[in-house]
Amino acid sequence: MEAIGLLIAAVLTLMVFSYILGDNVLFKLAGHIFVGVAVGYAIVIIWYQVLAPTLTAGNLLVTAPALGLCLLLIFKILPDQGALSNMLGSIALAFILGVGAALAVGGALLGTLMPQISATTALSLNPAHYENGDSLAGALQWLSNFIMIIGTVGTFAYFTFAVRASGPLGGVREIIVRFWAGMGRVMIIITLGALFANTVSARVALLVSRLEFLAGFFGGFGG
Amino acid sequence: MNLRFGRILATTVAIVVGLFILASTFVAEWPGEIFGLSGLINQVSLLFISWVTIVAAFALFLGFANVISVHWNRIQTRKPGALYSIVLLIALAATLAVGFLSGGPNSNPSQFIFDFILQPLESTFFALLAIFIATAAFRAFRVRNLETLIFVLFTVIVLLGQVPIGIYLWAELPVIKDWILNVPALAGVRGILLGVALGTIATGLRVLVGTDRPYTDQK
Repeated sequence: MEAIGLLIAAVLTLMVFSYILGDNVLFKLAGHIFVGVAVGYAIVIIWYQVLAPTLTAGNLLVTAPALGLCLLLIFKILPDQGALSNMLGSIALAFILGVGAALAVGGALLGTLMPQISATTALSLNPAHYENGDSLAGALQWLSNFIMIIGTVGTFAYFTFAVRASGPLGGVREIIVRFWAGMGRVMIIITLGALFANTVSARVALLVSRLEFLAGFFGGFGG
Repeated sequence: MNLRFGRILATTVAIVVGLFILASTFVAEWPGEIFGLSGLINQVSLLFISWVTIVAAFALFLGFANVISVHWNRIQTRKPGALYSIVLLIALAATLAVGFLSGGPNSNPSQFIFDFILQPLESTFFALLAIFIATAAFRAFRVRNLETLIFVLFTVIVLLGQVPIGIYLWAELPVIKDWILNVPALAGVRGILLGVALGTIATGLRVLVGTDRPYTDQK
């Protein structure tokens, strides 16, 4: 059975790689097989791991209102939407978005904003706080912390979208924002460069693993 | 029931449900009891989240129905690409049949589909991107100014620092790569994350106070 599986995997892999020669029927077939199998597999997982356990648990307080909301959601996709069906569908959607928005706000505040601010403010620029404050290692630590603080504030300041300030202090504000945004721009370029390199590395590693698989498969036939 | 009533009802549902969930987030962080309501707020919030889990799963079923409908229409009207739609629907039906008849995603036949069809296809599609990223980078990476020079320089250092040849070129390259990832790149990511978090909070709060109503078709 495993031999058949490996043969299928090898054929599908070659079908996808055929795109290197240009867009063709084999590549499109592989793409459509992928979508079909992925959708089918997702539905099986959702049924067995989310819906079936909840619906068969027998907790009416959970299932009855949820099924009611599911029915309301159907109204949202009806092709012919009147005012009533639109309203009923909107209630289910409002429920989902209300919960989603609240979870997003809580998650962003407690899961991202506060930990990231704490991590940045925990960095010290006082050499006395380092283990080897007076050595080269201490100087490098100080420099790293300095770049971290400047970089974080600068990148954050780069996303300043505000109306240009008028008045006597408007020019000063403009200079400060421009300075930090310029610093942030450089940090974003460095970050994107590093992220791009990481993405390329990950993709090349996958490419090598697929080529190794093909080499192993056809090598097995040769042996 | 007119449109205005429907809009008010939907907005009320979003606000009430959202505020309960938001309150439960802060109740969980609060050290003591809040007017004896902490338990109630937590229980109601958990109930709301369990409802949403089911509704979100059902929404994926609606998406599944939409995929079938789109491709079925393409086959019926014999539009270009109808053959691919037939292949897609056959693959979908076969996966569903195997999944449901064999007893779920952990069964051997389902694992066979995952190991020998889904996973190889997914990783090969991603692997294919390596070739296109490389060719696109070759075309785009022309150093025109200081900013592109910085971008190319840091990309090359991180790339070379991750492969064995980097050590042969210069033994310190992996150390510099680690420093770039742990200091300037981390600072940039942190700044971006702070911006994204503030944006998420602002957008979420606009939904929770009813300023934005994406669930109704009207503004």
